[in-house]
Formats: sequence, structure tokens, C-alpha cells
Amino acid sequence: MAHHRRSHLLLVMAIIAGLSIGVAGCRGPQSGGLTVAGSTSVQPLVEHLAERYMAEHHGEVVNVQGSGSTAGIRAAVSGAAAIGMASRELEPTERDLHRFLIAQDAIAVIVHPANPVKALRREQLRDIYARRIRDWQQLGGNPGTINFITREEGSGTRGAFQEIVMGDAEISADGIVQDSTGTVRAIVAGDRNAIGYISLGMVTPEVATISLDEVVPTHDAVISGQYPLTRPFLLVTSGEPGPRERAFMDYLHQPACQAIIEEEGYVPSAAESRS
Amino acid sequence: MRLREFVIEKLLFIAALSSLAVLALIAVFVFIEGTPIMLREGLGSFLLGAKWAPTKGSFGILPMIMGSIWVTVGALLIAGPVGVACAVFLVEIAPRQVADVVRPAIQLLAGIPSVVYGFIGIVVLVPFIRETFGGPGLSILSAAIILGVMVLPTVISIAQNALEAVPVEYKQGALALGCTHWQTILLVILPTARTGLITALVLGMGRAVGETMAVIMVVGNAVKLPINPLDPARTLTSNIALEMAYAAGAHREALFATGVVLFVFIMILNALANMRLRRRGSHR
Amino acid sequence: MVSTDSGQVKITARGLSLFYGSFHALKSVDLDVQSRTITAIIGPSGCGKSTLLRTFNRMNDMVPGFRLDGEVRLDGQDIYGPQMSVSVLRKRVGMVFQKPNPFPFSIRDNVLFGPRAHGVTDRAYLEHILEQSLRGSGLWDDGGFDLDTPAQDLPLGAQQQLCIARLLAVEPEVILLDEPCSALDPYSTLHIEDLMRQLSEAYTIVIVTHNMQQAARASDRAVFMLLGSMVEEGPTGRLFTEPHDERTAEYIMGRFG
Ligand SMILES: Nc1ncnc2c1ncn2[C@@H]1O[C@H](COP(=O)(O)OP(=O)(O)O)[C@@H](O)[C@H]1O
Ligand SMILES: [Mg+2]
Repeated sequence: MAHHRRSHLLLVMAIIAGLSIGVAGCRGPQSGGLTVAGSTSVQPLVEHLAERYMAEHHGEVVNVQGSGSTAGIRAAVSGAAAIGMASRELEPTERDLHRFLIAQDAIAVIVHPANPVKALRREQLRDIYARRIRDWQQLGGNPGTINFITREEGSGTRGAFQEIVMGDAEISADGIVQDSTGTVRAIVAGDRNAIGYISLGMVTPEVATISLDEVVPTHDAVISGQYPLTRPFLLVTSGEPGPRERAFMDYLHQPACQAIIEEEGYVPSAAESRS
Repeated sequence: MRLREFVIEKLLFIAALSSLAVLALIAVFVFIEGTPIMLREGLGSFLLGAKWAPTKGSFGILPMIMGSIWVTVGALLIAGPVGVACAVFLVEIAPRQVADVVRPAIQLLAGIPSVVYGFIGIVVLVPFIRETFGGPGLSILSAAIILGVMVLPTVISIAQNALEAVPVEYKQGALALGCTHWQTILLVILPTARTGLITALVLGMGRAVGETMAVIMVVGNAVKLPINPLDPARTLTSNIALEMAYAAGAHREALFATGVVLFVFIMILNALANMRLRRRGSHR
Repeated sequence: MVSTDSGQVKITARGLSLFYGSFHALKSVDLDVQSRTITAIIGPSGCGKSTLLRTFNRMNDMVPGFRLDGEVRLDGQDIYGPQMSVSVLRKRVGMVFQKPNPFPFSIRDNVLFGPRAHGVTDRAYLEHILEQSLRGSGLWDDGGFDLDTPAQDLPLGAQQQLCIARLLAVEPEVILLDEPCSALDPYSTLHIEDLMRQLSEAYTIVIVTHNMQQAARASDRAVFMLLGSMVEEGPTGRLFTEPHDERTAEYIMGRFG
């Protein structure tokens, strides 16, 4: 009897093993849905718009996955995703991809709301991240070691920050590394001595933004081009987009979607082209 | 009937074989991808190099090795005593009704997704550690505590089995010599269950070494050699998970090599656990 | 055979009734156990022999549903009374179990377990206890044992001797043995019986046994129990040859016949 029970258990396990191998074999990224993968900064926005898209276009399925800008671009090249998302400009080696701008995003530098430091110059920010300025006191704040938080390498947000703020300087290895906007924000919200950078659209009242070179990161400052720390939100395809991809991307340029993008705190691509 | 048994047996055999094959394939793949760079860079400078700047050609993973060791040992220092104490409580002290409620509750802990642990870590534990002990809060200590809690179910359930396997005759022998219940636990039950308890720790350790998501959230991920538990650090797993998505070329190979190191780490731990189990088996 | 100061009463039970939940396991037992004497408890399986034995060192206490009426006194002191510490009682009244149960430690650690648990740390004194206890249990004379060998490696008979040595090390006054030979071969059984005889010069011994020959051979007094009641108590020779009670006679006849 006991023997019998055990053999049943084994049989069930065998079937599960077999099924999972089978399922893993069949599931291609393209079967059924349209896969959009890449930047975790772009992901929430596209997810939101994709839901509307699916509600309005019956039968169409859009899968949005966050894996980082570089990974998204690579997925588009390899065909693992139909569309890649990137939150930084394409690099020279990536220029042969089809580039589709959906919005312009500002990167806000954030600190704890109780931090008296409200403004920084770009060089100061660079020196903080290069660990040349180590204490808030050096910036006119309360004494305390600066806990600076950066994103993981390969992140579009980090790429833009590196390019615009750091230039040739390296982000110090002493920095805390986090791989999502949410955790950066949660950490800064809980630490009076922390500083971090996240997409302007993701700023909430738990954290305070810092003005950079005397420009407060507002919607208008971004549109007018005064705020220096901005980067594009891109969708990319390998070669000309097919009809399904084209339909989805065009949808994002419709006024209704552009209005949503603006509501979410980003600068719609149409606005950018107007200015 | 015979035929049915024959078919079932072969099916089982094939299933067992295919799971083994999948495992072997993964191992071979990781080794093929990871070994060349270790040989090219030199095993010494790969394992003992302190600088990790993969996009600029520096591939030293010592900070990550140390990070993993610190975090894992720390997690065990927490989960070991707490886990064994819980197991003793459940097996020896708690009334039946209490144990019957607590046991499944502890196993439920195992079902909570890592992200949840990580998030609780960021929101509650990290600020607490920063305010109490100083430093950035995101640290080896935070990761060790979170991991310690995460491996508790493993440690507790194996420790429980070990304690339950202690023959009741030993316990009676000690009581009949005038030992109190506590003395009986300390002097007879725990020493007798020792090998099983060590197995619990080793398996818990295996789990701790491999955990990724929650660790990434609270350990700080700074690539530098940690010198005290309040420092941020990066573990082998978090290194792979943070960078694998975009890595290419030598960088990618270096991450696979990190995987090889992790693989060897875990194999050693499992071998230790198996040795323990076998020795205990031969003892009975 | 009977040693010098026997005749003094070591343990008295009066109106002793014991319940396991609703099950009435001992029914109003009155018994005097003589000092430095071997008392055998006999009777059919399930009649309450072990239960009676275990009331003398309170090993029944942790059975769920345990309840006791009447009284048991050790040297006149109520062992279920509030002044009695269970731990002290069990040091004074030691027990040897049916299945040899040495701890999975070395011979030395087994013998010294009790003294160490009770706070003896002086090395020389521990060595002294070790030798005395092993001598007392006959293991020392058997010799040839490395004291660091695991107890589990000993033959069963020697394991039971080791359990006795472990007990002697805490210097008890009474030794309770619950069918101590039922797992042993005939040679080891005789060995343990000889040992009991020697020990009875200094200790009060109560043994539960299934084996009538053993009771006849090795005890000074015998107690016959049936269905939780004590039927008869007396000198072993008399109880076996001219039992006062019908039921005793029947049982003894059945077992010998
Ligand atoms: N822990 C217990 N719980 C309930 N009943 C018990 C327990 N131990 C013994 N008994 C019952 O008490 C009676 C006497 O048991 P015991 O003293 O072990 O008998 P003996 O040793 O004479 O064979 C038996 O009927 C047995 O079933
Ligand atoms: Mg019995």
C-alpha cells in the first residue's frame, strides 16, 4: 500500500516534469501577444497605455516587461521582444534600429523632505557621486555623511545621469546601488542623509526634488528646455516596424494618449516637437 | 498489469533522467560560458581581485565573494540559534494545540515572496539600523537579518525532524537521573540531535547563499570590500542579477564565471550536508 | 541472604490509587517496601506493575490525564507533597529501564552524566565516581573497555550494566528496575541478577519482572498484582510455595506449570 502510494506520487511528479518541459518548449515570446521589453522607467507608462490599447482593440495582447534599457534594445535586436523600450539616447552602435520617441522625461534629483539643501550645481552633484564631497555640511546642510544612491549599470536613468552629470568622472563604487525607481525612492524617503535620482514622473511627496543649476524640475522647465537633466523615452524595433507594431506605436501618438503621458508627469513627444 | 508497470517504470526513469539532464545541461552551459574568462584573467586575479569594473576590463570578484560570505554567515548566526530554539519550543515545550497552529504558520513564512521581505527590509529594518547603529542602513547586517528570517522555515523544519528523531528512552533516562526538563534538552536532546541540527544549518546556508531578490533590495550592492557589518556590500547572486540583463562580451562571461563560483560554493555546502547525513545514517 | 538492617521500611504506599484519564490503573494499593531488600513485583501483563514502580520516582507525572489518590512516602516523607523536589527525589530513587538506554555518548560521559548535571566539576572527584560506579556495576571487573568507546558499541548486557553504573554515580538510595533483563540473553541475565544481589547490601531494590524463575531466584520479597490491585505480599519463598490467595496460586501454577 505504502509502495503503491509512493509510485503514484512519483508518477505525478513525472507528469509535472514532463509538462513543464513541454510548456517551456512551446512558449515563444511572439506567440499571441506583442512583447514590449526594456527600461523599467518606461515600463509603467507603456503598461498603462497598453491596457487602454487592449481595451480598445479586442483580441490584441500586449506584454510589457521591465528589464533595463540596454537589455530592451538587445531584446529587440535578437527578436526576443517585438519592441524594445529605452530611457536613454541610442548609442552609436545602436543607430541602425528604428527609433520612435514617445515622451521626454526629466530625471529629478531627490532628497529627504527634511533636508535643508534644496539646490545644487551640476558640479556639486557630480562631486557627490564621485565621492569628492562626502558630508552635507560641505553643501550648507546639517552634518551627516551623504548616502548617495545610484542605479545599476545598464539602466537608462543611470546612463543619462552619467552622460549629463558625471561626464568623464566615474560614479564611486562606495555608492548604494538599487535596480528600481521604487526602491531608490523608498530609501530616500526613509533617510535624511540620502540623495538619489529618479524619473520626474515618479516623484511623490515622500521625497523632495532639488533644483539643478537653479532650475526647479517642473513640467514647464522641461518643456522649455531649461532643465538640463532630461532623456528621451524611446521605443525601438529592429528594422521597419511590422503592421502590428506600427499600429501600437501610432496609437501612443494619438492625442488621448499624449494627454495621459502629460498627466503622468512626462513631456509628450508632440510637445517636444512643438517647442 | 505487468505491461502497465513496465511502462510506468520506464516513464519514471525517463522523467528522472530528463530532470538530471536539464540540470547537467545548465551546469555545463554555465561552466562553458564562465570558465574561459577565469583562465584568461587568471584564477587568482579573478577570485582575489578587489576591483570590479567590467565595462573597463577589471574583473575581480573578491568583494562579492566576501559579501556573500558575510551575509550568509550573518544570516546563519541569526537563523541558527533562533531556528533551533523555535524547533525546541515546538517539539519539547509547546502544548500540542499551540504547536499545531505555529507549525503551519512558520511554513507559511516560506511562501511569502522575496520581494515582500525585501520591501519590509527597506521600509522598516533599514531605517531602524541606520538610526540605531549608524551607516547607510543598507548593509550586511540588514541583509543578514532579512535572510535569517527567510531561511528560518528551512532551519526550523529540519531541526524539528532532528529533535523528533531523538529516542524518547534517552529523555526518560535523563529525567530518571533527576535532570530537569531544561537539563534534559541541553544535555541529551540537543547533543543527540547534533548532526541533524548541523544539516539544518547547512541547508539553510545553501538557501541563504542562493537568495537574490530580497538581498538586492537591502544589502546596498556597493562593489567594495566590506569591513564591518554596517557596510553595504554586493553578493555573488546580486551581482549576477543586477548586471546580467545588459552585460555583453567579456562582462557577460565574467558574470557566468561568478555563477561558476556560486555553483562551486553551493556544491561544497551540499556535499557537507550529505556527508553529515551519511555519517548519521551509518551510526544507527 | 537478607542483609543486616533490612526490616526497616523504606517506601510506604497507603490507599494508592492512580488514574490515566478515566482508566483506573492502580486500585487502593497498600505496600511497605523494606530497606536493603530486593522486592519483586509480579503479575500478568497490564496489571499495573510498571505503573506502581513509576509512582516511586514520579515518572508517571507527565502522562496526560494522570491523577493520584492516597500517599507514597520515602523515609516517611510524602513524595507527592509540596516540599518534595522531583529532581531530588529522582536522584534518591533511580530507575533502570526495560530496554538498555545509555546515551549516545562515551562510556565515561554516560557514567558522569548525572554528577555533572548536578554540578560536580572537580576532576579528581569525577574520576573517583567513575571508578566507583563502574566497579559497583561490575563493568570495571569485566575490564577491557576503553572508557571512550561509544556506549552503543557495547553488547546489550554491558549496556544495561552501564545504565546501572550511570545510576550509581548519582548515589541513589533506591533502585527501581522495570524488567531489566527482558532484552538480554540468559548469561547476561544471570550476571545482572548477581549484581542485584550485591547491590542489595547497600540499596533498596524493587524489580518488576515477568519471569517467575527470576523472581524466585533473585528476590527477598514478592508482590503479586492483578488488574491494578495488590493481591498479596510476602517473603518470596513463602509466596511461591504457600500463597495465601487463590489467585496468586493460580497465577504461579500457570506460569510454572
Ligand atoms: N501512559 C499511559 N496512558 C494510559 N494508559 C496507560 C499508560 N501506561 C499504562 N497504561 C495502562 O495501565 C495499565 C497498566 O500498565 P502497566 O503498568 O504498564 O502494566 P504492566 O507493567 O503490569 O504490564 C495497562 O492497562 C495500560 O494499558
Ligand atoms: Mg511493564
